[in-house]
Amino acid sequence: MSQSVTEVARAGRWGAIGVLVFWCAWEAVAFFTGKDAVLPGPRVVLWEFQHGFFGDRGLEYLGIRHSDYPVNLAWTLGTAAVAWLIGSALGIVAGLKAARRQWLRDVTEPVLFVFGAVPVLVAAPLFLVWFGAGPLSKLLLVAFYCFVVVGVVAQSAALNIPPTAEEYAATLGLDSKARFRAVVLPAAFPPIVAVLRLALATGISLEVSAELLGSRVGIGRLIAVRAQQGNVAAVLALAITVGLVALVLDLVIRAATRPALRWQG
Amino acid sequence: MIEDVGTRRFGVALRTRPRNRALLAGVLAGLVLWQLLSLLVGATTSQGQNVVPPLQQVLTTGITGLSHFYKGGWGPETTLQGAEDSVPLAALAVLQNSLATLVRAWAGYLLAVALGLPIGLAVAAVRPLRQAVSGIAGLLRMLPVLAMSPLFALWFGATTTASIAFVTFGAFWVVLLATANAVNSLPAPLTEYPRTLGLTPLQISIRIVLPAILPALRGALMLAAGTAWACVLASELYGIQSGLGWALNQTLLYTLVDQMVVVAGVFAGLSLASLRLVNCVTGRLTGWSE
Repeated sequence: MSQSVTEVARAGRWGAIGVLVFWCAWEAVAFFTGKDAVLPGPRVVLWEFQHGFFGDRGLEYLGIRHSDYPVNLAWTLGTAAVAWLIGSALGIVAGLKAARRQWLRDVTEPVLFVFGAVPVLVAAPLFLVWFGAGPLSKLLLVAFYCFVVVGVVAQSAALNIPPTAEEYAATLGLDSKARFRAVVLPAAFPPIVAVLRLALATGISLEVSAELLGSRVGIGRLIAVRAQQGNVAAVLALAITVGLVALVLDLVIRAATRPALRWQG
Repeated sequence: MIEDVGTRRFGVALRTRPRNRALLAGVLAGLVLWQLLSLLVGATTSQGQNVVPPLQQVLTTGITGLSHFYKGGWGPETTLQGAEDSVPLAALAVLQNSLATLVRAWAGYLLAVALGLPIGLAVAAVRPLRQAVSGIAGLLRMLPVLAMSPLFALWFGATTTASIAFVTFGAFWVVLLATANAVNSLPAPLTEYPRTLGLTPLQISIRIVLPAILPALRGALMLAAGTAWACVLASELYGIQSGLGWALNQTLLYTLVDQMVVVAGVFAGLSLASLRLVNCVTGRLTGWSE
């Protein structure tokens, strides 16, 4: 036990050193490049973050009503989080049930087969035309993505449970519903948690990139405007901020699901 | 008695299985649903036919309208030079833009694999280095990668180089991390025994470790291919002036849903075919492990 704690601490220490080395290497490359407009160093990006956090008058002159980070972050991450919740919940139910009911597998298979392999971003233009540039189009797009990716993994997780485990439960008198609760759900939970974390990170990325295509508010909208201005530092500051908040959300999911995964050791 | 494989129509079984006829029925049901939706939206709204065009429109003007995306240089005149919309010109347009997209996706993907595999092997050989790279990758994993494509257009211009660099950036981390993790999961005797026979670290990496980790890498190589296709689409949607993603963006700008559906269908087909090819090649390479 103490050995594994030491190992985790060592991994964390080397991880932190890696990030520090990356930071220094980035700063050095930026210094030798000598052009903040091409490759700004971390300090320039940090400066851009500090000065843009509460809004930028220059962007407001361009007609952007909300140019501050908090409103745009809340918009982007709020939409992505709601979509992730809806899509993932539907994906878990559909995936687990489809692994045990052939008619449901037949219904979900075409969608999961095609969009399990094809980037969902390809459907973004269609969603924008149908549901407008507001949050609904992005919410549906991200929810659909989460449904597919979580559904595929949940189905595969349920199919990978050894049949003997369920047969043994049946010999103990558990009916189909009880076996689902006592055997299928706990066994499929670890891969489902892993894919939920992946779906959140990729869902946020999809939300931001859909906002690049057309949106009135959101981090993607700000990235599009800053990229048009050629402001690399601002684009990096916005992307890193989204990444850090997504990292915090990822840690929250890990902490929330840890008690349920304790049996894994 | 629990049924092992779902045979009853509405029963509960331990296992269900994919059925080709269900896939076919799903595609047909999707087409019928689209046509019904088109009729419904067309009858109830003024712009309905433009928003959900009927299938006959998708298969006629949706295809011929793509002639505008032909940029010339292959013989026939472009529509800007006075040529009429036609099926052959549309086929040329699809071919020209598909080739651009395919080259970017595959070049970026192969470059990511070519870089990610050796660097992953090198990183895995030194535990502190592997942990340090995992720390960086843990942060980079959470960045909205797809939304960073405008950065590459700023750095490399709206060029194929920018697209390939972006695809490589997106897929590289997947291959690198998977390689390092796969090496870490190998049983120690697998590398210790050849070392006693006098093999150098390089020989062990190439002749022992690389073949041994391939089965574990198969899923990651598929994931990287999927990431590569998402990245190539993102890079073409934002800035680059050729490729299927660019054509898709143009159909969005002018709300040409009939053409949008055709372009999206071609992109989906190419992406699906590429992933199947990766699956087939990696399956052959790892056939010994099954």
